[in-house]
Amino acid sequence: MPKVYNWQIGREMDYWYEESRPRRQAAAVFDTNKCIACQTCTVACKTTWTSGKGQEYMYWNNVETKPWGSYPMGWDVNILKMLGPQRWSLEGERYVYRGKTIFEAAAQSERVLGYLPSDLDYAYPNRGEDETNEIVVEEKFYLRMPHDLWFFYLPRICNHCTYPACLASCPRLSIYKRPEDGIVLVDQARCRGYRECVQACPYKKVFYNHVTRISEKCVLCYPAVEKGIWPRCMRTCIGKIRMFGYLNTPEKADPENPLDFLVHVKKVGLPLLPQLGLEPNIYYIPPIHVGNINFLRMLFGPGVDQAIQTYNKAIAGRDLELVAALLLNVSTDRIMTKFKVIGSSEVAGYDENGHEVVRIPLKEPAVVRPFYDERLQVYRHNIT
Amino acid sequence: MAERKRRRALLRMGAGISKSARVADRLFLPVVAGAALLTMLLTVFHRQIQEIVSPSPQPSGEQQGPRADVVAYTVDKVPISDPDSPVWDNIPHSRISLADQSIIKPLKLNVPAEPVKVKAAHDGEWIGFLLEWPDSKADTQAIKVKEFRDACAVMITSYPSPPEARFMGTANNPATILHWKADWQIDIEEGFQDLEKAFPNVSVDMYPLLKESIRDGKPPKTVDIPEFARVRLPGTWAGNPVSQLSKASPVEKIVAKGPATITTLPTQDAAGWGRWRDGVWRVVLAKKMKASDGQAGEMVIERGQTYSVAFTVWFGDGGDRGSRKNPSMLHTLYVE
Ligand code: SF4
Ligand code: SF4
Repeated sequence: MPKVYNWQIGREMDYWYEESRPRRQAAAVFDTNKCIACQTCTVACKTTWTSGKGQEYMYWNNVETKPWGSYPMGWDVNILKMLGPQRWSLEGERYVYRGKTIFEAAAQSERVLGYLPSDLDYAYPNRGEDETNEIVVEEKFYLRMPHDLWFFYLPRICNHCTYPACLASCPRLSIYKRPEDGIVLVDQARCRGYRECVQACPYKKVFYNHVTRISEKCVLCYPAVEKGIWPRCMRTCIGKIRMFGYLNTPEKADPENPLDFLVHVKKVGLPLLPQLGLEPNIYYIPPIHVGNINFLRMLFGPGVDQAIQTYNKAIAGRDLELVAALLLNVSTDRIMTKFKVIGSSEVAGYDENGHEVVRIPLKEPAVVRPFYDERLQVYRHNIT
Repeated sequence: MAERKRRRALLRMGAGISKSARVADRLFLPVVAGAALLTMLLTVFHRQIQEIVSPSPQPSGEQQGPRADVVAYTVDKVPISDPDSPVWDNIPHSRISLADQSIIKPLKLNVPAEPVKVKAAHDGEWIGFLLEWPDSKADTQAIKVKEFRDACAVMITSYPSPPEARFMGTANNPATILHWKADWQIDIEEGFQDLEKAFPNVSVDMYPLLKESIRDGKPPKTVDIPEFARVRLPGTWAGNPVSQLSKASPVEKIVAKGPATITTLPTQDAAGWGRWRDGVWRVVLAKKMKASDGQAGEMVIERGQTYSVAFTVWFGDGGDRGSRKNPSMLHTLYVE
């Protein structure tokens, strides 16, 4: 197998094809600290793309509660178990993954280590919703950071991976990664329903259509993206947890690009299960309240500790630029390629032509009204 | 004196030479004749000897024309969609061993114990093959994520062709593939195998484009979905042959020029039918001898000609699909 470079694991790895990065890579950062599991993203996607017969069980976007939730059931624990315990090592300043990726751990007869979920695995998309890591007992339930009792929401879509397992696994070459934006698509005219991709994708984000008998996946709303507009799950996000744009490789990081800034400069955006080796392009700001740091390291890699520290600094008001970048989340539906803090009170975002597409204050103006209104002679419950 | 002695010695030597030459002369003819006879015998019985050393499949019955692994015998009318037709009874079969698929990953490494029995016949218009192989379970459904259908295929390409042609032809030796699919057949036999077949308790509240079609929480039949709403059946909408709701034949006519190149031919005029009984699949696959898609590389089949053929079986319950299959080696097909 050819050798390719995967910066997320800090080393070269085996992949089915030669390294061939797109001209630019569509990517997103999801701030898990802000997700409220409203499922607006899920429904936005469902009504846009998967409301046909045969697609009932499909959620190209789903939101699961960690640690117990997963859709399809056990997608993460299953593949981690198949892979077995693996190791990262700190080499100089950086972490290098010394374990095996799913390409390297594949049997001789296979291209990728994977498995096919059963229909029952797909039957409980809300399993574990809002369940805490442990049973709530009164003594333990006090507020302290991080929390002893915790859960958090993990919204998931296809990661439009740099090294897609779905694409590598297809013997018919029905899956392609677009050179113009890195979006990974299943050719609906070419696929023959072998389900190799369903088996290979460790994130289980390719789905078999029961009626058309071929496979389908998230298209990252490419008709919108082609026009400079965010995908639907992203622009409808109620919790404003999402930032969509284009991500460069670390050595080409542009600190003015909001994606590069969050992922490469501030390093608060982390990949999901980077150890699998796909270089996924949806990044997560890890939850800061979770009492089990090892759980987070398992999910987001060894960058978790530092990401949480940096994020906490921003919350404490000691990183204005990071606060500014985070405020741009879902502030517009136009794709921004640059952002700038204006003075110390505003942040603006610019599209690829340099047009300002959004400008927002760093602090929302607040008006405090008197508790008792003399004119109307009433008390107010809400004074801001 | 010395001179005379020397001469005598020379004479004796000469006598010795001529004596051994006479022995050689005596042996020469019988040896040559024997060798010639052996060569002749070897030539004549070459194939039989080869059969003993490494047996290759061969028709079990009477042979006519040049010896080939499979012979397509002349019949009045090929029963193109009847594996039980008595016409097949009079045709001798060839036993074709199925191999593993160890070239293109993902591989299939286990090999079925039994060979596939192949019969072939033509009537000047159609050429048909009857494939027969044991399979303990008929897998005719591919609706659920982990369901795979049984299937089989006949691949025909030119003769002689390079060994790589076994892997679905080459750029210079396009292969015509007849591919029978158990789920396509049951779609024809019983009507489109819909979602409800696999999930009888399915209930829905709405499909955005079909608000009125939902009765008592049950989805409409897929075949009743009006044209405009089929945009929600992406594969069907994109014209994918696998996703078409109505199928004319369970056999797809395909052209291929190597792995990952199979292409559905524009004219779908292949025929066939399969029947599973008592643990055995018997499947007919047939095509017109004239190529309706000659431009696209479909093979023309002519009398008196030899072709390269291969046969492949997919066992659905073993998770076979695509490259997970048991193909045969490349064999010769003679068309009587
Ligand atoms: S997440 Fe899965 S489906 Fe999406 S590109 Fe990666 S491997 Fe393919
Ligand atoms: S819309 Fe946003 S806040 Fe709501 S569930 Fe989706 S990601 Fe979370």
